[in-house]
Amino acid sequence: MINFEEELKKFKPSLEIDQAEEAIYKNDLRDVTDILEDMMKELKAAAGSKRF
Amino acid sequence: MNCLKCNMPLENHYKCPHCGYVDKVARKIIYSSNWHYNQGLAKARVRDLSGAAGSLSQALKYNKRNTDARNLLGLIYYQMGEIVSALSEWVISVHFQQENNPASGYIQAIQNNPAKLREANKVIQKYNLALNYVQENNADMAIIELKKVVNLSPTYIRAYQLLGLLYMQRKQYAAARKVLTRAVKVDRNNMATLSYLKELNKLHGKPDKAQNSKKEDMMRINDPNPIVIEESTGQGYNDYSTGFLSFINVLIGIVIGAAVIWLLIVPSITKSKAAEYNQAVVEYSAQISERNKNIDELQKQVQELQTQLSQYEATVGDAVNDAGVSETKLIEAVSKYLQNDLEGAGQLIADIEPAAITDAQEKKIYSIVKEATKDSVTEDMFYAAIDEFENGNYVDVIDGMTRVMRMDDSYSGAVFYMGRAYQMLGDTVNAAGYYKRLIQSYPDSRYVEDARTYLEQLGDTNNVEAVDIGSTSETSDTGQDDDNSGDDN
Repeated sequence: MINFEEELKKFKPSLEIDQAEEAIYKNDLRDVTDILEDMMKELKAAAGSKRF
Repeated sequence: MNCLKCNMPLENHYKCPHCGYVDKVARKIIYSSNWHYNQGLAKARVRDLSGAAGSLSQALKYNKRNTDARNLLGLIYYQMGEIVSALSEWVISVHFQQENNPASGYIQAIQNNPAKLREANKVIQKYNLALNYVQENNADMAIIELKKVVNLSPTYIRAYQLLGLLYMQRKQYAAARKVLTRAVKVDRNNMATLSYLKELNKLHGKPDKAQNSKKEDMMRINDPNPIVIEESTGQGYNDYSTGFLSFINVLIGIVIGAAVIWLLIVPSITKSKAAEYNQAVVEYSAQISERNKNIDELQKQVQELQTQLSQYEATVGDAVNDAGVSETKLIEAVSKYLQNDLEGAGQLIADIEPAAITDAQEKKIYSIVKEATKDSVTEDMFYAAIDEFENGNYVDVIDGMTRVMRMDDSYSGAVFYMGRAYQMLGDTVNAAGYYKRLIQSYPDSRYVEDARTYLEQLGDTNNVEAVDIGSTSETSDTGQDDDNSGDDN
């Protein structure tokens, strides 16, 4: 049985045209490559700290 | 990501463009992104918009520089009524690839049509307003606004879903089914829409079509053994005759063609025929009016001819009467002459107009009687006329002198008194005519000098011709003798 109140709460306001710029800036553009790069940076940092 | 060998940026490539090193990790990432893009493209082609959006989002999670995936995701959002999301994806796409990017064209198309952009923004505002009404538990107003939204933007999936949900909540199941069915037509595999429809089927008690049709395809076999359900071997598909369908299509085409001819060509033909008829009517009217004119002219001619005929008949009648009277008088004159009554015969002869006697024999008789009687009556008639002149009876003078001249045209005095009588009556033309006749024909007459004097009194009479007095003595064959008669008096 569907819960109408819960279902209605799922609906969020749509962004208006003048909010487009904000939406673009808030867009999460991280992809797998970015994650891998971050991981490699962390690994390198960890390796550097062990060396010293 | 940079090349592991030369540390140069790879930028959407797994093979370094500088040193040619193939990065296997980058290759797997790009391949995975492309695979999801292909999935999204396949779903978009069968109008599974939400499924396509999911796959394309996944493709971008692997490779944010996958321009094709981002552009297609923008198109999917645009189709679902999410214009701001679409614009966001296209702007980011252009950011990653400035050249040869169709997203630039999409953005340009939207920017070049500000009216449509304003309308899209209005739709979004109405949707947000409806959502506010929902939060304020004002479902009626929310439904009104959402109806406007789906009318303005018929592919706005979220508006359909919200409207369907509100209808379901208000137990307006038919309306909810209609709205959600339209949403399914736009986006076939939207999970939310399908779940609402399923819930609607449960609430409204309408069994699932697929299950129902499957049950119909089953049959229960009565058997003493445990119950076994077997699928019937009924045909799943109907094979329609393509020839029959072709015939139906041809028939529909003929009907449409006939309708087009009836609606477009027939009115123009009718119009041209009406114009021809009108032209013909105008021409015939002109001909009729011209003929009426001719008829009027002919009728006038007929009337004129009838008038002339009646006049001619009257003239002929008078002449016949005159002739009749003259003949009678001639007979009476002859009778008196034979009785030796010369004076009586002469008076009757003097009354006869010589022109009225047309028969040669009668003319001859007239001349004989006239010659025989003129000496007996002319002088008396002349003096009687002079008496009338002195009495002022000028009309009788004219009549008397005319009779004198008929009997004997040598009486120049008769011509003179004719002129005098006309002068006294004020008829200067006839007066001058008789004076001129006297001067021309009787130059030795004693009345000539007086005639000249009176003629001068009449003024300018140069245009007046001398009167022809031959008719008064036409039948006379005696001619002029002398001017004793009358001259002596």
